[in-house]
Amino acid sequence: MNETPVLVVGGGPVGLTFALFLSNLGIKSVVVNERTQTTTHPKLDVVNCRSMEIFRQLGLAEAIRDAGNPRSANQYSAYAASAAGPYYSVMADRHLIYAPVDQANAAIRACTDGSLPLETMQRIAQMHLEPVLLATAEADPNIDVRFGHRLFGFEQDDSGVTALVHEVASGAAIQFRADYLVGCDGPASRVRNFLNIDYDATWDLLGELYIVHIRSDEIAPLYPNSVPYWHTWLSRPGNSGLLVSPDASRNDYVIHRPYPPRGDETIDAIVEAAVGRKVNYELVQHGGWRPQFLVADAYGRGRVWMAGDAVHQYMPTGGLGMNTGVAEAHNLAWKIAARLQGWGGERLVASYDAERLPVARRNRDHVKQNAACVFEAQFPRTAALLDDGPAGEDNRAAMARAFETKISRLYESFGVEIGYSYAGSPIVAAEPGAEPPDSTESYFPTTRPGARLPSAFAADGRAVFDLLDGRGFTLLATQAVDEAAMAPLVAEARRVGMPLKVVVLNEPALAALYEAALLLIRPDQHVAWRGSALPDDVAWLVDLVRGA
Amino acid sequence: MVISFDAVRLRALLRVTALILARAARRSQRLQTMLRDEGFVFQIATEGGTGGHFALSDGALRYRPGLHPAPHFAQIWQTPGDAFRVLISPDESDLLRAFNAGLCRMEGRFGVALWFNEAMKIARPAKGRK
Repeated sequence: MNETPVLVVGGGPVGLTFALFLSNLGIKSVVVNERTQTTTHPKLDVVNCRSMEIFRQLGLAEAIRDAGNPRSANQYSAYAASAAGPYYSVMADRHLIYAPVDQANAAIRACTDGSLPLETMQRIAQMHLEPVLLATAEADPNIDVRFGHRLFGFEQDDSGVTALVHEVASGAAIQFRADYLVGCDGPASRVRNFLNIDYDATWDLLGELYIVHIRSDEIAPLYPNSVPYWHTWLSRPGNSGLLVSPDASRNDYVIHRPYPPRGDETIDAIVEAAVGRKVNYELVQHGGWRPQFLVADAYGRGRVWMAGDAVHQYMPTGGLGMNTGVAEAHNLAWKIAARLQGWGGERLVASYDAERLPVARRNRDHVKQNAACVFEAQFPRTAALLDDGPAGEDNRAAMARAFETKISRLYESFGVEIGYSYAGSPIVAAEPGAEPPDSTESYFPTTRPGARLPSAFAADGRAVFDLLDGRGFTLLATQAVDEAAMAPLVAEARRVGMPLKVVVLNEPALAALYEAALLLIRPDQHVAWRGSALPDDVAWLVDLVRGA
Repeated sequence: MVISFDAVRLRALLRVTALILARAARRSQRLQTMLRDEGFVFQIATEGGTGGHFALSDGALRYRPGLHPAPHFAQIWQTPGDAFRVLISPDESDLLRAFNAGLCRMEGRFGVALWFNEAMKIARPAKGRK
C-alpha cells in the first residue's frame, strides 16, 4: 500500500498546478496520468490574466512567458475574409489584452486604480505550457509524478480514500491510501463518474466542429512585419471560421471550422480558404470535436474533489476552460493543505464547492454568450461583402462594427477573469450593503469580502500581491496601526496554528484603493474580511475564515 | 394565392414542433427550468412570408403562425423547402452550413437559437447523450 496525503488524478495543466500549489504549501502528492507524455496538440492558446497572477505566486510566470509568444509580439484579434485579406477590422490597441506583454507590463505598472491585473495574459499553446509545469513538478521533491498510470477505481471512508491505479504499460496494479483524492482528469473524468455526479445542462448544442492543425512558414509573411495575429476570425460568403496562431515565434496554426468537411471537400481546400491562397504546409492533425456548455452538479464530496474539465466543459470562446480550472486548483489546494496541517476547520474543504460552483456557472454563461456573439458577428454579411464599390465597402464596415461590438467580449472581459467573488461563502465575512455590479465584461475593483484583492503597487514599487503570504493568511494594514491593535488576531491565529503574516503599508493611496484600514487576505488572494479595526471577538473571525 | 407544398410542410412542422415542446415541458425538469428564463420571440420565416414564431413569456412557450414585427431572433430562409430540410435534420451544423451557403440569413440574438436548440434536444431525447 502506497500512502500519500493527496492523490491527484490527471497530470494536465490543472492537475499539475494543483500539485505545485500543494507543494508550495508543504504538502506531498502523487500525480497519476494515463497519458505517457504531455499533449502534442496546441489545445488552449491563452493563459489568462488571473492564471498568470496565480502562476506568478508559484514563481512560474516568467518561465511560462519564456515558453510562449515573445514578449514583444502582438496579441491582436482580427476579422477578415482570410489571412491574406481583405481585413474588416483589427483589434490592436483598444484594450490591454491585445498589447504585447512588454507594453502591457508598462501599462500595468502605471495603473494606480486597481483596475488592471498584476499580469497580462500570455498567448501560448497548451502543448508548450504543459512541459513547463511538468518539468517543475518533476523537479519538486514533494511531487511524485507518474505518467502512464490510470485510475482504476477508489473508495472513500471517513478517514481517507483507497484507490487502485494501474500502470498502463504493464497492467500492474498499485494501491494507494490518501487523505484526499482530487480528480483533474478531464471531460471524461472517471472520478466524476465514480462519484455519480452529472452535468446540469444538455450536450451538443452546436453539433460537431472541426479543427485542423498545420505548420507552415508561408502564413506569417501575410501579416505586417511577418508577425501573425493571435486570432484571425474568418468570414466571407461560403466560409467562416477562425485561424489561430498560438505563438508568433512558431509556425503552428490551428484552423477552426463550424462543421466538418462534407462530400469531396479536402483539407487542402479548408487551408486554402482560411489562408486565402495556396501555401505549402505540414498537416499535423485534424478532426471533429463537440463543444459543450456544461457544469457538474457538484464539485465532489467527502474526501474526493475535482477541478478543471472534470467539472466543466466550455466551448473555448473566451479561453475559460483551463483558466477556470487553474483558479479552482488555487482555491482547493490551500483548503486541503489547511486540513492536513490541522488548522483548517471541518467546513473548509466543502467551501470549495460553495465558492467555485457559482463561478463555473457564471463563466459558462459568459462563454455561451460569447459563442452566440461569434455567430451574430456574421449576421451582417451579404453576398456583396467582397465587392468593389459602395455596397462592398458598407458591408465590410458593418462586419467591422459587428466584430468590435460582439467578438470583443471574448477578449475584453476582466469582469470574468478577475471580477468573480466568493461573497456569500460560508468562510467569508458577510458585509451589509450592496455588492458592486456583477459584470463579466467590466471589472469593478473592490475589497468587499469575497473579492480578489485589487492589484496595486506599494510606493517602493513592490507589487502588493508579492507581499502576501501564499502559504497562509495575510493581515494587511493600509494605515499606521499600533502593533498591539493587531496582537489579538495574531495570537488567536497562532493558537489554532493558522499561518498569519502581518503586512503594514502606511500609504494613503493604498488605503483609499483598499477601502479599509485592515484586510484579512486568504492564501488565494481573496479578501476574507475587512474593517477599520479588528472585531472584539477575533476567535469568531479566525474560526469563520478557516471553516471551523 | 397558391401555397406550395413546401410551405405547407414548413407550417405543419412548426405546429408539430410546438406540440413536441409542450409535451416535453411536462416531463423534463430541465425544460421547466428553461421556461423560466428571460422571455423572447423566436421566428422562423421565409423571404416570401411563410412562417411562425415561438414566444416565451410567463413560464410558457407559445406558438403563433404568422410573422412577429420584432422577434428577438429570426431565421429568414430563401425557400420553405430549405427551411424544412434543415429544421428536420439531426445534424446541428446544418443551420450554419445553410447560412454559409447563403440559404438563410439570421437576425438578432443567437442565444435564443441556442435556447431553442437545447429545448429541441430535450424534446427529442433519442439524439441526446446521457
